[in-house]
Amino acid sequence: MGPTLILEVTDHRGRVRFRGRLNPLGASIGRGYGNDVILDDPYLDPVHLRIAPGPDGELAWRDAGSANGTWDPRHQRRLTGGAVVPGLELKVGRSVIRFVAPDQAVAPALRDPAGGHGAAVLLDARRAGAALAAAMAIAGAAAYFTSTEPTSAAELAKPGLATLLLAGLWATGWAFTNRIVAQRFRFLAHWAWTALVATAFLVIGLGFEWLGFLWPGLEIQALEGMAWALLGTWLLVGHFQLITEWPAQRRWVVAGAVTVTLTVVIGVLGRDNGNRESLLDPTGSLKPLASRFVPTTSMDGFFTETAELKRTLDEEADPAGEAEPE
Amino acid sequence: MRRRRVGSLAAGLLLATAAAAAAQGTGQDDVSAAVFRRFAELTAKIQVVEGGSGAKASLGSAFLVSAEGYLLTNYHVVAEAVDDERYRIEWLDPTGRSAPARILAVDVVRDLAVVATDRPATRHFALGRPTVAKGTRLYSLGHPEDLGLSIVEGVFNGQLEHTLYPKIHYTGPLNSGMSGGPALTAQGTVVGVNVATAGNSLSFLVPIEAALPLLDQARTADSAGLPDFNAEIGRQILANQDTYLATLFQGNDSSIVIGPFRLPTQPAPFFRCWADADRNPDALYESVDHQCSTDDYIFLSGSQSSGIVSMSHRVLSSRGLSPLRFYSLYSTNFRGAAAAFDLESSSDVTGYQCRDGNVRRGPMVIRTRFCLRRYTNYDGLYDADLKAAVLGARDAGVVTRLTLSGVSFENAERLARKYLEQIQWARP
Repeated sequence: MGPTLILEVTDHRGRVRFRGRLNPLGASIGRGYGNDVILDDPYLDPVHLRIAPGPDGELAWRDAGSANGTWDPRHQRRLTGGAVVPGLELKVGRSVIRFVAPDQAVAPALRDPAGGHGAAVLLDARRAGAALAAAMAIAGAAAYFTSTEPTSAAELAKPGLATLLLAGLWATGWAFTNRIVAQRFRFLAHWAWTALVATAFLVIGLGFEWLGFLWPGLEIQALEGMAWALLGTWLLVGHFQLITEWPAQRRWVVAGAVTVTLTVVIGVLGRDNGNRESLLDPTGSLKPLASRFVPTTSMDGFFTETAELKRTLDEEADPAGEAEPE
Repeated sequence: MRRRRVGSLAAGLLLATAAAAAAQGTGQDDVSAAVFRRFAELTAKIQVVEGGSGAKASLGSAFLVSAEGYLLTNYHVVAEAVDDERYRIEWLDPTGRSAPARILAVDVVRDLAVVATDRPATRHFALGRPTVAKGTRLYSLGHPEDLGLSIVEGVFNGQLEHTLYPKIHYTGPLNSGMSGGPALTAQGTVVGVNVATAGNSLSFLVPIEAALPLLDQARTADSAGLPDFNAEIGRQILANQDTYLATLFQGNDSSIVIGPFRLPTQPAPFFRCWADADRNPDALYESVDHQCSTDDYIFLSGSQSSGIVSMSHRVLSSRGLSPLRFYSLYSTNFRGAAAAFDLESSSDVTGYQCRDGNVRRGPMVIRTRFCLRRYTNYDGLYDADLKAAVLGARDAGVVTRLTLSGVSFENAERLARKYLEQIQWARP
């Protein structure tokens, strides 16, 4: 005789309604109050099935002549009885009875953001304060280096304060949501994270300006779009962690799907409808870097590439050429 | 400034009023009357009509130049009907009788066209190579604003000096609709063809000599068959630009020193240059603009032209901006650098294709963006736009832009390259 099995019953939505040790001497299952396992499922008989030890001492089950029968839920076959073994599943009415070995492996615990890891690093007030100060300083520096007028300290503080204010509003919303979902109110951590993420967007933009300056041929807008999409996906994953109990893989899959959908929608909406005059204006930035550090191309090299422009334009202008297979 | 062609229906009312006032002041009514009596019947009105609606797309004037009944007019008067079946050309004799006409030959560079009336002429103007003294009184005939055949007095003021193509400076109030009409002496010698005005009686004629070869071409076309006009126009433009573009940016041009840069200026006498500086004492930088542009262009259609070469420099110097801040200013100016002349958008061109690069030329690194678009109705013609900014200095920069309209790809690339080579540090 093997170890005592666990009997588990799930309802029509897959939620566990009953879980308990299976009596080694047997049990009856049904809607009636005289059963060992009473199930509130209107499609069950008062006594639907019985489990009892056979002559060899092994447990076996038998349908007690139920009106709707007992089914194999995987193959939709009607069953009358058999051995009770770990992994056996029986469909009765709208419920499923499952027999599980006690050493059955279970998924690892979900990481709770309150546990001091991940997003919780900013629960510490000093760290959160430092993050907010850094966000404000970086916004101020960005404002200073892009202004070409004489500027006062108050002017420079404005973008930082605006960032903190908007981040604060956003954080308030999420802090309350989190309180409803997880009974935790952590405004400061939310605020610091929001400000840091806003700063990350700013820094990513600056980084790509430099990339675009050093390597003008790069499809910089596409790369920048990808960076933003990645950051956006990561943010969604974090928020799903706050409001759902999904495992990590599911959070990433859903967040990825949302990002891809949004990217496609934005791509379609933002499609340049023939306004190609705007192409004339370069999008990159110039940077104060000594010429010897700038990767360059020779005059000949540059004008060799322009021949490619002519080919593209000639194909566009000459529909006959366009129709030819490449 | 672009000159107004006087053949379009879209004429300014202001100009028309001013011209009328100027005309009242002139005397010699008896001579004008005699010229008008003798030559009015040798002129015609030309209109381009949209086939579907019968509405006029453009109108201008013309005059009889051969016994076959050929009319000479401006290319821009009939341009709409070239290779476009939606439009047809009508000519009206002085009595107002209208009949269809067809284009036999065009010269887009000189802005002339010969159209056939298919009705032999008993009298016509004899074309030649007249020599006229500056100050000679000329009489222009035409249909200003479609108000009926009119005569306008003016003065011959010689050939223009700084121009891409020979043009006569004519002091007389030409108006929209007079394009293609003759300008003649009191004796009836045709000196030129009315073509353009810059307002205030400052007008221009195409010298009549330019029509002589065109008349021969028209006779050939009439007997041997019409050419493919779009291909012919493309050929004319390409042949013409090889001569006038060949001399530009060859290294011996004039240059100008602005801040730490030596930059090209006035590449040829037919360029006009102007400058502007912004030296606000409170600003943390100063900026100096210098622009040059050809004063002339070849009319191809209402939205297409060829032969414009324009360049603009903006030199920025820091007065206390840190390098990062200065380069932020520099970037903004590079992105939005204005052209001395903006190429128009048109359905007859492709979109732009651009290439970016940090181009090294000796000790200098130049951020360069080269854009190109192609004319869809004329083979081998492109608009090119070159934007460049010199890198490496911490407190000074120049954003420069070269715009070329209706040039061959080879010319576009050659000029862009030569232009970049002209940009240098003033101090070695």
